[in-house]
Order: sequence, then C-alpha cells, then structure tokens
Amino acid sequence: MTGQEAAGRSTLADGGREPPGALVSRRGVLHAAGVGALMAATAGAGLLSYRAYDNRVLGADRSGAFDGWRRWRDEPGLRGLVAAASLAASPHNTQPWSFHLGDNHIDVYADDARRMGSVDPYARELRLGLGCALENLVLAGQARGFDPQVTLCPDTTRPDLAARVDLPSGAHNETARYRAIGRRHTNRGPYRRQPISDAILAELTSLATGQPTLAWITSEHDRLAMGQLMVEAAQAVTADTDQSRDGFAWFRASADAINAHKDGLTLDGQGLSSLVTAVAKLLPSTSRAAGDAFWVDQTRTVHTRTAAAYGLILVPDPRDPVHQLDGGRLLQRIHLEVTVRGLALQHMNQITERIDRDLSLGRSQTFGPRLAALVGRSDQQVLTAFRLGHPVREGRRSPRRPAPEVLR
Amino acid sequence: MTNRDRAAGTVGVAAGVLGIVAGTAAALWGHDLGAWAGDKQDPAPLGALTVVLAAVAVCVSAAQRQAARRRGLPPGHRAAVAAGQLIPALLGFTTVGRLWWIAGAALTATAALTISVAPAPLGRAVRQHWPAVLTSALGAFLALAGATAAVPLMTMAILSGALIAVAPWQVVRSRRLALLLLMAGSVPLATLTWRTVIMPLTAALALVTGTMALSHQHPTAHRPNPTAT
Repeated sequence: MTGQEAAGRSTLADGGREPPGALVSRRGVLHAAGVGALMAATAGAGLLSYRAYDNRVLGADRSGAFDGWRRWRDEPGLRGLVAAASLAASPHNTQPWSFHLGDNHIDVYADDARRMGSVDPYARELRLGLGCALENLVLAGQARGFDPQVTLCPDTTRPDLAARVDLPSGAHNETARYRAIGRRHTNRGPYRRQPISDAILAELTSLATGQPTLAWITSEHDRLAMGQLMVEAAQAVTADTDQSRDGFAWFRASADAINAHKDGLTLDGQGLSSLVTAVAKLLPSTSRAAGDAFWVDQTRTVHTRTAAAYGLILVPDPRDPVHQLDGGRLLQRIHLEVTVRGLALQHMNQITERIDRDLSLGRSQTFGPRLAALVGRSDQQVLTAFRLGHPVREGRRSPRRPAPEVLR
Repeated sequence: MTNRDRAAGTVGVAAGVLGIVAGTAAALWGHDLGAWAGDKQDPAPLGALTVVLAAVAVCVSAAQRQAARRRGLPPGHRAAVAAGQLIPALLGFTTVGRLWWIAGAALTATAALTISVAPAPLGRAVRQHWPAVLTSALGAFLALAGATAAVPLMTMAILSGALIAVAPWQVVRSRRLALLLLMAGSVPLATLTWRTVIMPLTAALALVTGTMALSHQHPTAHRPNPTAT
C-alpha cells in the first residue's frame, strides 16, 4: 500500500469508520508519523555517520598523527634515534623537545613554548619529559651500534640545552626495553585487583642506581591515603582556573585537532571502554568544566580505586634541572620495563603540580607536608608519582610529531 | 527534455573526469599541494576515495547520456542518476579540498539539472519507494562511517553498505535474493562492530526500512515505465 493510498483511507484501527467530513484519518496520521519518524531516524543516522567519519570512531589511530608508532624503526641514521626519542612519555603528551643532529652527537633542547604554564611553573614536568626522551634516545643509540655518552645541562649559558648525547661507536645492543618503545603507552583505564609481586617491585627498584631513588606505596592503608591525596589534588587543580585552563589547552577533542597538533591528550587515551569511547566521540565536544569533572571522577572511581601500587621517584631537590632530567630517565626506564612485563602504568602528577603551584604563589603548602609524611624520608622529596597495576584493557597510542617536525 | 538530459550527462561526465584527476592528484601529491588538497593528514586514501566517488558520477552521467539518446529516463532511474551525481558531489567537498571545488560545483548543478527535467514524476517515484530510498541512504551512511577504519573493516563496511543499498531494488528479481542481500549487508557488520554504536544502529535501522521496502514494493513495481520522461 502506498502512502497516498494509506492516507486516503478512512478506516479506523478499531474497524469503525471516520466521522463524515473528517479531513485526515487516524490511520493516515499514524502512517505519516511513522514515515516521519523513520525519515528523522535516517537523517540522524546520516549525521552520526558523518560524525563517525569525521571524528574517526573507527580507525582512531590510523591517521598520520600516529605514524611515529608504526615507523619509528624505519628512520635512517641519527634520525632513527630521534624517532625513538619522540615516542617517550611527556606531561599531557606535550612533547616539549627538539633535537639538533651533529656529525656524531645529538643535542636535546627544551621547548619552553610547550611548558604547561601554571601547571608546571618550575619546568619540573617539562624536564621529566626531556629525561624520558633522553632514555629512549640512549636505548635507540645502543641498538644501532653506538655507545651513547650523556652530558646533562652542558652549557650554563644555554638553559634550553638540556643535554648533549655523544655517539661514539659501540656494540649493537638491542634490549627488551628498546623493543618495548613502540608498545609503551600510558594506561588510564582500570587495573585488575591483583597485587604486584614483591619480586617485580624489587626488580623495578633495581633500575634506580644511585640518585634518583624509588619508593613504593603498596599497603592498603597507605594506598588509600595516597589515593585521597590524589583526588584532593585533582579537585584543587580543577578549582584553580589558571591550572584548569593550562591543562585543558592540551586536550584534543576532535580528529582534526589531533591531526593538526599531533600532540596532547585524546578521548581514545582515557582508558574508557570501546563502547563509551565511541559514544563520547559521537557526542559534541566536551567543555573544560565537564572535562575537569570527568577527570576528578575518573581519579576517584578508577585511577586511585584500582591502583595496585604507587611508585614515587625521589630526589634531594625536585627543582634542580639535573635531578629532573635524571628522574625522567628513570621514569621512562621503569615504564619500558613495566611494558616488557605486560603491566600498566599511569603518570599522576596532580600532587606535585599543586605543591609547585603553592610555592610559585608564595602560599602555605597544602599537599607537601602530607605527601612527605607518606614518604617518610627527610632527605628526599617526591619528584613525580605514578600508579601501577595489571591492565583490564590495553593502553592506546597517543598522537606524535614525526621526527622531521622536532628537528632544529 | 532529452536535450537537457544530454547536456546534464555531458557536464556530469566532464565534471566526474575532473574529479578523478583531482582525486588522483591528491592521492599522489596531496602533501605537497597543502591547502589545495585540504591539508589532509592522509591524502592518499582520501584521494582514492574521491576517485571512486567521481567514477560513480561518471558512470551515472554516461548512462544518462545514453538514455537521452533513446527514450529518456524512467523516474526511478532519474532519481538514481541524480543521487549518483549529488552524493559524490557533496562528499567530495570533505575529501580533497579546493581541488574538488569546480568538479563538485559542476556535479551539484548537474544533479539539479537532472532533477529539473521531470521533478514531479521523480518526486512521485521517491514517494512511492520511500522505504527503499531510505534503505539505500542508510547503506551509504554505513560505508561513510566505515571509511576511516583499517582496510579489512573499511572494505567490509563499503561492501555491506553496497549490499544494503541495492537490496530493496532487487525485489523485482527475487524477494528472497533481496532479503538475503539485506541480511548479509547488515547482520555481520552490526555484530562485528557493535561497540561502535553507530554501525549497529544504522544497520538495524536499515533492516527495518529494508524489510518495509520488501513488503512495500510489489515485484512489478520496477518494470520499465512506458511513460518515461
């Protein structure tokens, strides 16, 4: 029956007849409503399909912004070392580095334009990221037959020159940690309720030789206290308009933004289930307030609740550039070793961000004394913190600037 | 009427060929062309997609020219030709940037010309077969949503979308074949991609409209219309 025929009939659904003179039958109205609903549903499906296409609900990490993860071993010569370094961890995936290739050395520079303002007033996280890149660079150098020699802060007149890596010939040494560079991802998802064995923690601890050192928080009591501190610090960061803005500036809400910047945090990297991620990508972009609320909620319900252990990297002076760079190298080493062992790690810097913020504004410390009490070491301070566990789901790739874009 | 169809077909073929050139250029030199190719991160697959879209426009426009030489296009075929010109025209604007502007504008105008030849019979044809039209549109949406997936899934999405799009129009041959095509296009893809939300929803909607189309259309409904325009 065609729509016209249906509309033209005056038979009622209950078998009666339309009153004489009725212009539109009830059945006709129902039919028109059904057709209208289907057309509206189809139009909605069209809009959502375009949104799925435009925001890459399928194939999120297939664009050029993720090529670095697929091709990092293919770059020739010293550029291959830079390609490996570019895959290192960094705060909010800011990738605050650039590299200069010499004949037999590589200079690593800090890119202060990529420092997170009020979130990182003393460049603690920026240099942690540079240290992470350095560690990858050294591992890649060893794998390609060099014997990398690192000098931190080699020129006091050039504060942006973080390190020089001389590359004399050496033995080829392709380690498991080197091979894990392309598989290392921050995992912000839930972890299983399964403790990390003491043997694994001891082996991770042995990665710290001399300064900086490593401390673990594993007992339930201390984990709860640390978790509470993390949640409160996250709330404080989001309540601080400057910190909230400076952090949210690195959130890439769309595929276009990811491709344009090739850095920052993404929806795919939040550790959500595939279903929730797909819904989030189909919906309009989130506001800063909504993003902040989501982060605090995730910190409370996922990050702290499912952490099997917290790791703390300790140094005598967390604002000393050399300590920061060394701490970054250790952090990356741990993350790679964790990857080799199939475990998950998430960097959690909100407490130290609040400590630095209070210090930079000359305010009394809210979080410093409580964190120090948890650590229980008067000679060492916390440089950075992370959580560790057995992953429920794999971490996802983050966008990366390719080697040519980080060379100077 | 046949003169306007012949003109629309000629312009459509020319615009489609221009689109193929644009897509090829984007696929081969997209990175060097920058804003001219839309500043895309992955110009190669988008260029290839543009070539396919433009080829569809060339094919339907060529068919339109051939039909114009004979006795004209039946309303249903006219609707298909217009869709084959308009949909690539609009999608192309999102794939290869400025390279598509001339081809896209020409194809949009061509689609308008094709419709303007006989808007009333075309409108009647669309109204008569509205569930089939919606089903075909949903098939196209599935292919679009899957266009950014990894190659195996993208291929499956495009094939599934094509099966769904053609299914309701096969009822003239065999209702069973049409139902089989509809099921084959929607069920496996919806099952495989249930986590993406949009794919299973669209496939389920296509099942509803497709089933309506099969029960809605009489097998004789698509026989050649002797009063073609």
